Amino acid sequence: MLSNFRLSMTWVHTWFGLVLGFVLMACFFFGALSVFDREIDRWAIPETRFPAQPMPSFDTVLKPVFDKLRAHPDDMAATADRVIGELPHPDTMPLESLYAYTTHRDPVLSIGGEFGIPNKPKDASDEHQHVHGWATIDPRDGTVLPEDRLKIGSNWFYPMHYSLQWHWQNIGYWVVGLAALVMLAALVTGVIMHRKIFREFFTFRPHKRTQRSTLDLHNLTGVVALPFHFFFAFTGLVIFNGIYLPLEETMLKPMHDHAEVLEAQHTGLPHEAAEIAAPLASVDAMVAEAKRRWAARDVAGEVGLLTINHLGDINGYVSIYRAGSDRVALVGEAIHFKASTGEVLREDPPRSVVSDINEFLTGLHLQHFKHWLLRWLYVLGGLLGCVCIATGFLFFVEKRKQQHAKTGVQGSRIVDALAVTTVTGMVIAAVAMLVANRLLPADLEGKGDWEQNIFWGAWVLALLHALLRSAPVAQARINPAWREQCWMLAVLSVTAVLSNWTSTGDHLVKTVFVETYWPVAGLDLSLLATALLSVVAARKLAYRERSMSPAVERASGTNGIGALAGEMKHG
Amino acid sequence: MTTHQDKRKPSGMAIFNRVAAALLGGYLFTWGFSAFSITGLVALGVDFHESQTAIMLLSFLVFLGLFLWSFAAASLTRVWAVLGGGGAVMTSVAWALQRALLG
Repeated sequence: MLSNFRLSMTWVHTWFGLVLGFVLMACFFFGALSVFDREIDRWAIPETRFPAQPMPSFDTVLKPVFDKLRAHPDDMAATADRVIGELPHPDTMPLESLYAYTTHRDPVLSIGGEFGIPNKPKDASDEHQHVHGWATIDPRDGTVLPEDRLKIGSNWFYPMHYSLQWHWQNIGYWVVGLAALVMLAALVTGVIMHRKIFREFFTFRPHKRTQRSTLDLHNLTGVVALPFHFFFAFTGLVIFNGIYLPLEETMLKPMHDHAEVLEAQHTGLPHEAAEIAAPLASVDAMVAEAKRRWAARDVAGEVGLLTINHLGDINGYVSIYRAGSDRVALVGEAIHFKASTGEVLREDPPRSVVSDINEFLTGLHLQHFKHWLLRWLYVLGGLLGCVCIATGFLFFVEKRKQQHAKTGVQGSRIVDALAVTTVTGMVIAAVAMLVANRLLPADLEGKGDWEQNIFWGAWVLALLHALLRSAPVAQARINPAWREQCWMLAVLSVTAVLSNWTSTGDHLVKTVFVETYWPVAGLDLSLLATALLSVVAARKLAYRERSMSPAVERASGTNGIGALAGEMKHG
Repeated sequence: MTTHQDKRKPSGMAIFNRVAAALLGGYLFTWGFSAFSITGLVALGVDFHESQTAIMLLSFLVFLGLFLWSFAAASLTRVWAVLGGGGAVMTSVAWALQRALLG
């Protein structure tokens, strides 16, 4: 596009990086939080602060729960819009398929199923003739947990990571997908721009001018974690390929459907129900047989996912999947049983090379395996990504703000305010949500909605604050909002830890030493670390603001030199 | 962007055109490439899901390459010709091939 290759690539890096960088900040930060989504859930829902549980007995615990499960009102409403005529009463809808899902980090169990309906769809090509029901239960006794307890980790921060919680027309997924493509492009163009890759591993000059040291840090974090960043952006796209390149649901649907039918013949797992009623044999016996077969194959393990298709039909079958706690590739090694008799229909064969690669890559992104050190390294990698992007913004601003101050252009001022919003503002939003979770009464109606509103409200306030305080940037100085939001964040983080203590009695001495419970202790300690870091940052910023104030500059005689000297002395 | 005065500062319209070519053209080409490769592999006797998985792993890297090339290329017309034309041709061939295969 420009006169030479490197200039064009630099243009792509700068401008796409700037625009999509704000989205990428959210992807990386909430991705880092999602590594511990289940643990954040425990913090936010104190009733579920007990050890992780294995899949409970189907026959004694789950069967009665599924008997009571009904279509969810949300999906009733959504389905009513898609079909002709009134839906039958939920009590009369037959449960046609079901699932129960857990991981090695889950005290609670997610269950759900599809209920059959007689209605015809409004759109003839709409093949989905079911209403869904779902619940979270305590697997120790089958108690259904109240629905309005928002799982802040796995149902708020985690979906934020890949959909920005912007669900209309899946647009959030598309924005995140574009951001992932831009991340890949930014990494490639970043390498093209610099060339001296090896040197950047070892270059960080914190005492130099802000512009120089932010660029060093940008290059350092980009290069050190380059494989990590590339891998996550790339596999993120692969995981959602069904959304980004929906070939098999659109253009290649005939071929896809043909392959499905062939596969059903080949695997012996019935594609359709026979419409002949049949009872369900003991599922516990099938689980025992599956575990025996895994052990015989030297992959002994727990059940991660249990599904039943065509429930109550002679064609019904039970699929039992092994939990992926000890391997990177996702749940697998399924063994399928005939639901009415318990005879083995099929054992999943070893995977092909292609699907092995795919399962390994997506498994490495989604990390269901049990490895706490690696889990923390993921958090570190995610935060390094945030540092890389944030320093990119700062470098953009630093490079231009003197020039913009002279010419009266507001560009760097606005970018800086948006950077405040996506750095400190985003963390403030997340921590404010946690504080709200602990301070709002547990029985408040729609508590989860309140928490979500507080999350967005805090973020919008952070944006407004950053914009209102941005005037100094137009004079090539620091926006005081950086420092003020650091203080705000420190106060909120400490408040979150204290309110967890006062509302549940779980203080750090208890959760670390007396009745060790790392999910809660880990989040409390992370919050305190956040507070500490914010205070350090706020104090450094205060020092720089003072040394860059017009009074100091006048005293030192030449514009900017005083600030520079101050920085160098301080460093 | 072949004929403009200042080569360091492309105009707003030029940027818009280039971005549209990179994103829409790149997507169209990737779509065609994926559809064509999957049906092609199936025609060669590879299992549908196998080919689908393999091509998905490739297609995002193809898109990345096309995206960058769209900005590196000197002529916007050539970018549109390759991406739009290539995408349309491959999509049509995949369409025909699928019909032939399913008979």
